[in-house]
Amino acid sequence: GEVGISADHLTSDSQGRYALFSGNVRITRDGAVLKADSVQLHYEDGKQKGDTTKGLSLIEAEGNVTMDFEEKRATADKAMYDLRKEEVTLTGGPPRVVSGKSTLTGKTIVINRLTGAIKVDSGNSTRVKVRLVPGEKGFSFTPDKKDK
Amino acid sequence: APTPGKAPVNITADSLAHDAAKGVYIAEGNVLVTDGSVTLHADHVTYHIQEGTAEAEGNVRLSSDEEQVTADTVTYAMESQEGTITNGTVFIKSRNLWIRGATLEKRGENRYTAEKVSITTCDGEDPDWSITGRKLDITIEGYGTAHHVMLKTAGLPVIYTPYLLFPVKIKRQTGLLAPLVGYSSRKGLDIIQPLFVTMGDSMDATVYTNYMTERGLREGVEFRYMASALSRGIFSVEGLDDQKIDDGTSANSDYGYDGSPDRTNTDRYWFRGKADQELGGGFKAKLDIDWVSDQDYLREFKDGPGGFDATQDEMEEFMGRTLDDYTDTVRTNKLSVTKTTNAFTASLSGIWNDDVVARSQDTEDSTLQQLPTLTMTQSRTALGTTPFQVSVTGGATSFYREDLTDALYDGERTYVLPKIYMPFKVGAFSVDPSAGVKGLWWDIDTQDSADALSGTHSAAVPEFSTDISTEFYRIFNTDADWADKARHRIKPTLTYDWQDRLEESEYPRFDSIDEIDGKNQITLKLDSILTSKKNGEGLPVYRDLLTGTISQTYDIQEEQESDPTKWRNGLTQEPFRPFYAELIFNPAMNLSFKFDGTWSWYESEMLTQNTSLIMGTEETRLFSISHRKKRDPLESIHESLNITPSTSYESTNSLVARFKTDLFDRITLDCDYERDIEENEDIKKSVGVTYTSSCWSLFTRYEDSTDDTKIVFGVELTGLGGFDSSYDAN
Amino acid sequence: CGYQFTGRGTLPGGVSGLCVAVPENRSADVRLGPMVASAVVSEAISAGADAAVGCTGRSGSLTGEIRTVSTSTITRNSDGDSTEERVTITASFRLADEDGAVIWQRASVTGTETYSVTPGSDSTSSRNAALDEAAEDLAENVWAGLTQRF
Repeated sequence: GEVGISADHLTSDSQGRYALFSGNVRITRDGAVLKADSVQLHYEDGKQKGDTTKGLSLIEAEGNVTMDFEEKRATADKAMYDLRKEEVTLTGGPPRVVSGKSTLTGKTIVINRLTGAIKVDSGNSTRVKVRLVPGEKGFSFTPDKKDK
Repeated sequence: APTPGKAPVNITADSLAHDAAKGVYIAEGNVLVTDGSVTLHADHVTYHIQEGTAEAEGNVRLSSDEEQVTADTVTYAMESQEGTITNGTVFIKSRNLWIRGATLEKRGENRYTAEKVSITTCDGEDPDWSITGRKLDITIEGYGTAHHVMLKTAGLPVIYTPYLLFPVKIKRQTGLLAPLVGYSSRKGLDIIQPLFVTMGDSMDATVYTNYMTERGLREGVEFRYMASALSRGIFSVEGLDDQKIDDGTSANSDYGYDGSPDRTNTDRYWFRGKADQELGGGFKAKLDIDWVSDQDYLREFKDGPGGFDATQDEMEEFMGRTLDDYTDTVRTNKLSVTKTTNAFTASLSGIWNDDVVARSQDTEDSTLQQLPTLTMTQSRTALGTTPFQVSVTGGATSFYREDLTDALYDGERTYVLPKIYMPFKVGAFSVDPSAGVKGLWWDIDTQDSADALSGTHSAAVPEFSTDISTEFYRIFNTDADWADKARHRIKPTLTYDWQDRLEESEYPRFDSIDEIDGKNQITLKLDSILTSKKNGEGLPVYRDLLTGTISQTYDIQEEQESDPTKWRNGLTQEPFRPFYAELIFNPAMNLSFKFDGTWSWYESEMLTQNTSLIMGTEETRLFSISHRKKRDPLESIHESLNITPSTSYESTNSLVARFKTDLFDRITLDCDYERDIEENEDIKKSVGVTYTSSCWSLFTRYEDSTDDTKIVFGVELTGLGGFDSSYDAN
Repeated sequence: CGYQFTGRGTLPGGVSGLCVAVPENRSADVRLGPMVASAVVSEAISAGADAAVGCTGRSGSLTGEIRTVSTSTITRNSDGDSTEERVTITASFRLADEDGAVIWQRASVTGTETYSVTPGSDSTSSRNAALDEAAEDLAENVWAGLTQRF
């Protein structure tokens, strides 16, 4: 799927090896909207195309990260969106996912948007906590088949 | 608590994985799943989102207010609260009940079933006793049932029963499990086995089987229902085909009682019941039935579950009224419909006093029956705003006797007694005069129609009485440790009673209403109460330490009577009635001493003297001793006039003592002693020892009484059932 | 000598007049309710208070239930037949002021009377007579309880 990016500022090195967006960064990808204070893009096998989105491998978002998909919202200090695996890793804050009144939190939350699998690990101080309200849809960030 | 299925489910764990394909969460490491009413702990839990079920493995614990489950694996559905438990132990807190089984099913909030199970109320790994069984079905609020049940103590199988039912939480103590086993000269080996059956939450039944080697099999069933707070009832029927009879021969003396007629019937039964029924419109019906086959039955089967004492306790607790006592041979059966408004009560009743001896021996029965009787009572109510008060009692009765005799008649009677009161005060004195006229109308049927009493009669009997009383008191500042203050009150009362006389030969007499011997007497009574007041943190505590009463009556009618046959005892003129005194000393909680006595001025001796001392309570330690002595006035008069004594004096002199204490921390001793000092014979001696362990108690009791000599022992498995508490309270 | 007259009686909560309701009656004897009510009124009047049954408008109203009436043998002869029985009435009473607040209550007040029985004969009439006495004893104990505080 396409990746749309908008931000207040864009800085990149002269050879376009990386691009750093900062200030109200907003990234859309397959129905999901990722917002953060600053986002760093990483490219596949070193091709540095600066601000283009082709060959993009990893989006590294930091600072007040929120990811909204349909009525679900994930929040964290830091998010790593691996576009090849379609896997978002949320850390810091601690990371939380809210869907209706159901909530999910832990030390790190890994959401796979292809398989819908979610993996949550606890640290020594923050344990995994899930609150499921019967009848609600749960925490899947996976777009339906027809969007693909 | 939150409603299962609606409440949010909280999961806490070390790690969690969501497998969207299978629609499950897999939680690992010290996992906790709770919906607010039930909590599940485990090492590993797979939670199925759609079905809302959790599969837990490894050190699994499932707990709620009522129970605690530990198991290898548990699957649990949050909404239906159903689940299966493998290699689990269910602990029911309220009854300290442990249920262990290879597989157990949790069916809803309070119910468990299991294929193969062992149950005990003993804590710890190797319990003193346990019950193994199949197909267990147990409801925490109600009962448990199981099949092929084996009671094991210290691993050894002791008792087998194909079917078992036991109360799990119900307060009622009677349970199936513990049979009451005894041996007595009357019954030989005597085993009583009660069995509970419950039919919904407002009806239950108890079936008794009582096998006696000498007498045969006695079976009974008691049925209890509660339709509403005011409509309820208990009905019990039991019977026995007695292998022994009491035909008066010495060989059969063990099967009857001295002083009571022979008992030759072998089909023996006892049907009794009480019921209250709300009829609407303020009408209430009350039924009392008591139909026994012979006069010895109630004494023969007085103890243990299903016995007379158990029935009497049950009736008093559940219905608020008791049966006639076990040695009464004329037993009341009554049906009444009553309506009460503000101060007026009206009731229509049919009363049949069943003379057991006459019926079972098929002899003359001239017991007085009331079929029916209407009674109306208006209590003392104010007459408008006047200082007068008025009360009316009245009634119409159709008396009936099965067999009339020359002296005993039946017929109809109507009476009305309006009374008017005019209470007033004179200074510190309260005066409460009242006057009334009792109108009586009879229509008598006698055996011989020429009898003077036959036919209709009427009479109007005026009566007058007045009380003059006052009360004075003084408060003492005792400042002692037992009381900060004490108040002593003295209340003298002078009563004058006058009532016209109805000649016994001219007017019929059925009961106290028309037994009018006339009255003309003055009574002086003095009441005195010493009350202590102790200020505590909360409200001050008051205690009536010492209560005393003395009273003396002067009989003017006796003094003015010149015809000796009309004197009270027909021999000597005694206007001064016996002097009465009563003293109650209650220095502390659960400690009371009581004395009452009457002194005859003319025989200058005590006619009655009763003393009793009670220390402690039934639950803890108790020592009570009561001595009652009565001298028949005729006996003392006959002696002083040296008239040949007759044997039918009603002098009695008896001692009753009860001692109950716990010896060491686990053994309680309970002794009873009853002696007829007049005849110099022991009536009853019994001693019981109870050993109470943490989850069972064993007890034995030896009793030697005029009725029976027996030794009884039994076991009670605490929490599961035991003896009817009535056994020791006779 | 320091004693003084009680005067109008020492009912709790400053109650001067008493309305006594006929108590609920679980026993089999239908007369017991009205009899207890009248006995309590007579007891109150003899102590100088102003009382009647079933009235309204006085400053205190006394309601109650007769919870149990039980008879039991207390003396037996050497044959084991009872020669003396005791009838015990157990009742509970509450005193409420004009606006219905409960200012005194007793969960268990008893009235007892013993009576002799001759083995083998019909003791119903002596039991009924004893019940009248037990009702008066109950009324005395209720009144003693009502006026216990000082």
